Amino acid sequence: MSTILAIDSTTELLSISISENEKILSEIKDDKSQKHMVNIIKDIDHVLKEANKAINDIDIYGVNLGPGDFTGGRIGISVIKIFSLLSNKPIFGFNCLDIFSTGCSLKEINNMQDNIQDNIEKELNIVNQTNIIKSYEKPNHINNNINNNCSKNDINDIYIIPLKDVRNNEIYFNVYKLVSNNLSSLNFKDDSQHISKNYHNTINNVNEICDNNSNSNKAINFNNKLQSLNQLIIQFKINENKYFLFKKFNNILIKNNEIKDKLTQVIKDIINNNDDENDENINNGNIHKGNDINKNNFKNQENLNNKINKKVFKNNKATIIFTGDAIKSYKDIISKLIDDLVILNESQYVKNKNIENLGNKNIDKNSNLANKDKFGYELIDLKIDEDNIKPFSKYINLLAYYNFINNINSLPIEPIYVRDFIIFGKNKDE
Amino acid sequence: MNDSTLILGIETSCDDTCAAVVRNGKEILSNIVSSQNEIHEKYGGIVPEIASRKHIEMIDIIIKEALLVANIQPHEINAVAVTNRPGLLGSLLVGVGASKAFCYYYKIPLIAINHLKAHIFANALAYDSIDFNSQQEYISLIVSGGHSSLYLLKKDLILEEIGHTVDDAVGEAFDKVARYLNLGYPGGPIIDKISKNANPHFIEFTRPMIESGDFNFSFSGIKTALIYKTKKHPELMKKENIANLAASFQAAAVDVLVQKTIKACKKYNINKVLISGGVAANSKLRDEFNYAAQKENIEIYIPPIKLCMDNAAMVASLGYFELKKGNISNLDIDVYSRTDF
Repeated sequence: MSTILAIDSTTELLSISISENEKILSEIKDDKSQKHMVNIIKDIDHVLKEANKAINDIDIYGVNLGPGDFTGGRIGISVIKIFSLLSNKPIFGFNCLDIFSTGCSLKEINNMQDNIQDNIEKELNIVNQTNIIKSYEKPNHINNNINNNCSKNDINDIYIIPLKDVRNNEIYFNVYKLVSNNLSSLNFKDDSQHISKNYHNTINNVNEICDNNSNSNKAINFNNKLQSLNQLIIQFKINENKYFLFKKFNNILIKNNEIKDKLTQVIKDIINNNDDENDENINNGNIHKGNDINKNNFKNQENLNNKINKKVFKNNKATIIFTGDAIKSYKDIISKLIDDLVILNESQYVKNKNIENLGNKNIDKNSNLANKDKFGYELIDLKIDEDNIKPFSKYINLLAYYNFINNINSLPIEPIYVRDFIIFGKNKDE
Repeated sequence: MNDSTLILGIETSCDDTCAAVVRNGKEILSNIVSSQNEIHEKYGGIVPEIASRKHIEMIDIIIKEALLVANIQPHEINAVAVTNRPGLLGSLLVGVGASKAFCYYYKIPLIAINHLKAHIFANALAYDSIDFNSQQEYISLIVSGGHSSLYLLKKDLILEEIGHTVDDAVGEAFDKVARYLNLGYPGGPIIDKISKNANPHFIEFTRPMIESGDFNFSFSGIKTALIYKTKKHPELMKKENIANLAASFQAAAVDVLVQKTIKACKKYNINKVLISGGVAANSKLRDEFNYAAQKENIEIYIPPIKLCMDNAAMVASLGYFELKKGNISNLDIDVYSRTDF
């Protein structure tokens, strides 16, 4: 059993939580003052006591590296670094976009689980190579229900677009794909082991795009052809389903006046399944795991021979969710973007009956955006997740635990800066 | 308190990440300084944001190094002393955050330290004869890139400011003059070096505020005089004159410091002077003070150069004396860019 302390101090809300494995024991969201320096130890003490733990019970530390508030971020990082130094326990640091998308994924998974059956007691397991089979005991009734009620077509592809307002009229974002993988609907028996084994040992052929994880956290400029990254961020197992969250690209920095154009382009790509090739890699378990510095084992091609027909995974429907704090600061631009996307839709027929939230919109296959020559989704739901505008620490707990059990190397524990520091005045080098 | 009190000192108020272990306020077991001079050199001065970025990278490494060199296990530390004022906020909070975590982890006392006061305690490390527990009072001059002030150090470690610079700190003026003369950064050591074989009477600058009757300084005036003079007479900026200009500036700045300090000694009838801060490394300043000391029958204490610069040993040393007096801070202390003791 691993006890995890996670901190996010990069926003005006100081968020600290304790978990035991993936189970959150206590959590504090301190928004009373912006004085993180003053409150941080008191708040850590509070969550520890609430969880009935002491600081030297902590086995794993997790922290949000940003981007975010410079001052606040450094307070959390300096505290965590010293705890780790004194206890000789690992720290895992994360990009805020990973944290946003993990939070958003969990919410969506919960929604989906509700759709399958309301009465299922939700159970979260972060998929672990070693205990995936033995730790989870299948409750029979759940298994039956899934077999009966849940066909392949009921599972959406979910794209999560976390947008982080990094000030200076710029937005930092990425696209994440949440692949849901109903074990009982797959054509092969042992995909859990297959995928776990492989992402440890393999590196995507296109790995020159991303040599290490710190690269993937560097913002790149948006260009027409975003090269795929498909870095596995986290796997969940909830009830009988497994979920894989992939980061699609290197993180992207755009100007606020480009939001509409660039996001429209991204969505167009999603609609037209321009990432087919990459999906094939995902589905074959040929997953590039950017954090894994140990690349020596990449010879293990045998497992790749276990080809899976990618159409097994092909879903007709996708959901695109915007999340992150920029959906608040750029609310008007984002709503306009969604409205415009829907107006482009030739057919006003709404196929999806499951839209709950007001403001959810959808695009269908007849849309102007869809390229009819390519195989695309037939229906796209557009959503805004307004609950997830802070990189809450409880999602860092999950990410840290997942990285820990899978022995994934952490990012260097330093704040993430989206742009180089530009000095006023003259630089002698120039 | 037993006879061996180990204090971990942490200092991140400006551009150097420092950690030190000091026993009983006197014995330095380790004194690690990670200087950022090379980084700031190309900008001709300290860039606060860059300083903060380096601190957060280095803080745990430097603390680990200080413990290793001292051959002390972290749990043997009795208290942590950390600079929380005055300084660059973004820099200070890295050291203070780390110190709070250290103290919380081992449930040991945290001592919040005034950076300027700590400079004075560099002398406690350097001179056995200085006993801060006695009733002796001192005049103290702190001269650095950020500060130039005269203090009265009264018994019970109480510090009273009796004078300060009204514009630039003396080190800041050195940096600005060095930049104007295209000498590079940091200005103090460069000007010190090239002045050694130069003529300090090349230009006799007026000594600003020398007759002001108080103990305040002005260094910006000397700098401005130099700039105006050379603008008016461009031939002064010839290569062979640069060292003479630097030496003349240095002579004027040092002269003001010496004269005002001696005046303070006379007014308060104190004959012991503690000098500290980065500019106390300046050889002209050391020479002039030693000369004046002999003439005026005053005892001058200047720590060795390494202890003049920002370091954590002085923080740990002051921490020891504050701890003995029971001056312990809570873990909710904040950082302050300015302070009045």
